Amino acid sequence: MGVYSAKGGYSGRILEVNLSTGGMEDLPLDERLVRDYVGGRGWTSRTLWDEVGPETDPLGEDAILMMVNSPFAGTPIPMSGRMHVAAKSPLSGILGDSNVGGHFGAYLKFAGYDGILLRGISPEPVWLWIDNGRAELRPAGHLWGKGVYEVDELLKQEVGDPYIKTAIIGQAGENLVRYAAIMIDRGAAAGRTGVGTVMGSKQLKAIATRGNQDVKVVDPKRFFDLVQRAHHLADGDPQTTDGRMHGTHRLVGLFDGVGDLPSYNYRQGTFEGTEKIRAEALREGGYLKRGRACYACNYYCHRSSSVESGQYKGTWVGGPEFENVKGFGSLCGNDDLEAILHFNMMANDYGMDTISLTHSLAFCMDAYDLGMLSKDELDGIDMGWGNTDAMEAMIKQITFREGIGDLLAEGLLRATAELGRNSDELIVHFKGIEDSSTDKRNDMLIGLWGLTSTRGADHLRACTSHFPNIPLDLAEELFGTKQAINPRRIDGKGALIKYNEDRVTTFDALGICKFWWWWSSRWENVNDRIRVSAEAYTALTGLEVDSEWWEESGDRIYNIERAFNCREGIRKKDDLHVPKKFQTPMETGPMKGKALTVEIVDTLMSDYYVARGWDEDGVPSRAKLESLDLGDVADELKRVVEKTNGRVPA
Amino acid sequence: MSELTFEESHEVYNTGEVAQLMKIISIEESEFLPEDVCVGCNLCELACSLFHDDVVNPRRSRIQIHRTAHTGGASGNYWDYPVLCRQCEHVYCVEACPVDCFTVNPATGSFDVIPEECISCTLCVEACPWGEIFMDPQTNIAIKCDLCGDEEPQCVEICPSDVLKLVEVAVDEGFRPVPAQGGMAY
Repeated sequence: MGVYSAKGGYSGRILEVNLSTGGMEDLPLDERLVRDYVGGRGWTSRTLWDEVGPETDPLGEDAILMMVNSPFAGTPIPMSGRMHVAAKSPLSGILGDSNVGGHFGAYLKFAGYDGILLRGISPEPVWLWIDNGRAELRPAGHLWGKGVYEVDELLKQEVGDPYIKTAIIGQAGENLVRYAAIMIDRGAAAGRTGVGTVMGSKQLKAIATRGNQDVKVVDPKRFFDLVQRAHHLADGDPQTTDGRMHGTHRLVGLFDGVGDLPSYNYRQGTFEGTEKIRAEALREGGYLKRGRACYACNYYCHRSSSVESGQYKGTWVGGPEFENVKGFGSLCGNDDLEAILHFNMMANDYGMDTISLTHSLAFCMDAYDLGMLSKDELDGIDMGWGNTDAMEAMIKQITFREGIGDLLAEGLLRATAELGRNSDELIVHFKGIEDSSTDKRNDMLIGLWGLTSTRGADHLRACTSHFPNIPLDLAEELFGTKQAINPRRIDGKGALIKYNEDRVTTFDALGICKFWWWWSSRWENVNDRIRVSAEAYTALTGLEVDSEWWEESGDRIYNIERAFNCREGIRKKDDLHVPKKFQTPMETGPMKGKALTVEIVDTLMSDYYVARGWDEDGVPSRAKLESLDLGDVADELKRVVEKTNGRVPA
Repeated sequence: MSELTFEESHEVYNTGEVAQLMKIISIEESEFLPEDVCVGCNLCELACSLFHDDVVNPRRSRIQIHRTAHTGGASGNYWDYPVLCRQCEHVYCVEACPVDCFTVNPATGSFDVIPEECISCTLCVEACPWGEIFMDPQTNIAIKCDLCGDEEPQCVEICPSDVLKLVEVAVDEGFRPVPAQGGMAY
């Protein structure tokens, strides 16, 4: 196929930067990329397959870091500002990616680009300035060593424009903490899997952008009509009001009630301090200051909070989001909400994934409590449950790789391998990525997320928890059995998970936020939204898409991600790893007695592989790949699988 | 839209032949609810440019979202607020224009630029005390809020936190009120 000439939506260009040489090029879009992979995550996954393999050191010169917005970015389609960031993960050694909000993704489109592809390693710290179709690398020696907030200010002063949008790494990224984040517009994190670490390894401190290029629309009247329909779909949806008031923070109270709120490093599913840290506490305590939105978002769940008195006076932070409240709160046995906000701000400033970070903190507390780690080994820090001064000290140790922080900065899988003494039994990870969201012993619809995900632990690939809404006969038609939507039974889960993953993947390719577009309170609403966005895609780009396009694109992208991982050595044995904590039945609370056993997972995986069209070892079959026009991928996989069945170390 | 010249429009306006009610877009934020403020989503900019120009480009929008400086240092807070023509009494822009390229829309009372007549001198931009008329970076023509002709203003329709409101105000013998603008002062 040839070059894609964009008539609407897409800008038609990707900025390729070689940091080793300083060379830059505007890459035209390949037609195949647009027709088969849509945008966003589709492009990053395909490019990773094409460019990166087992011999690539994630932090070496051959590693690539890619950021792609989407055809909808920069349009008034609600929640269309999202951007997908991907690289081979320095934490897991397999596919790594993070989907992020903020404003940067849309502004990149106004600057004239659909994405950025970063190669090589810069000999000196630099920052990338993308100004309305023109790009240049500028020295960043004066920025290196500084936190994200300060650098954001300095960049704005340097170019003399307070309205530029930024993507910055903090000291964590500079110090190659393996779960460093790229902070978008100060408050949105491309956090997971260490994409910030890759940016740090390239000595790229920041990227900033602005522009006034048009985003063309092929059929403006029809597109506008669909934009308005999309906006009206939100009205009257109870999910919308709830999200605006509390954002993801509301999940703290919700999960505690259900009994799967990770507490005390997964020892419990309920937390006695929940009342002091839940969303209502944020509002009643006067900490919640303002609604705030990502670009083009009519849901504005991000919010903005502050602490105006006491030990943490002067804290201003976006959110807080569920993961941060759970992570710095219940997971560590801490019920001090002001401290949580403060640590959230620290993590933003240092540029670090709070999920992986808080796992490290909770691990220390757990190991300390069990006598597995002494105070001495913890650099003299008294890591008792809920000790907020200790948490603050340990966050700094990790950021600056001091003392035990140097080990913890490697991620818990590596850290516990080094520590020995069965410390690995305390960690909760899937394929090397520390787990997110709820305790996974809860039910069959949620428990399996991290296992089937193509980036390891994850809560944004399968997104299955709202399924009990679906009509039973439809469940039977789609998944082969009514029991598919029963959270207590394993039947039909393979087909259900595949169905979801395929649809959710296309949301990532289209760059629209799943928090509203997907997490609906009513199942049939999701189908309405899929229809509207498919029609909007056509009105915007002029590309005719049929009813199969949505799921087929998602299926294709998912398969190429799985192929990438299989080439890295992932097989069924890796899919069967269940953390020890999850194999142990829950001891207290509403989920008492529940466990995620290897037997359950084994059954599920076999079912899932069949639904996916993969062989018994979880490798995509030739037939499946060819049905998705991925015959070239099948050839490559055959070669690799014949050569080795073992895991190639990162 | 009216085809009258500036003098004709003003004469018509002052003799009361124009509607006694005019429309303005008012910015109303709640003091009490954090979600009833400008949340910085920029949807108004996108809807405005799409409606007027058939492309999406916030830099060509007649409503612009501005941001305050960070209070309390680099990590401090800021807030966003909408900036758009307040349909003022004095019409500084019209007064400054050397080629009379403005006309008044009798349905709304809004003074609008006639694009073909604009010579891109930017005197109107300099004259407006509030910076509420801008140069379109693509066409180099002066643009300002025209209340979307007489249709429902797109920014008002799309604003998710209901901060932008279309308000009808009485005009008393040529005196046009200046509506409240700007964000909450905290």
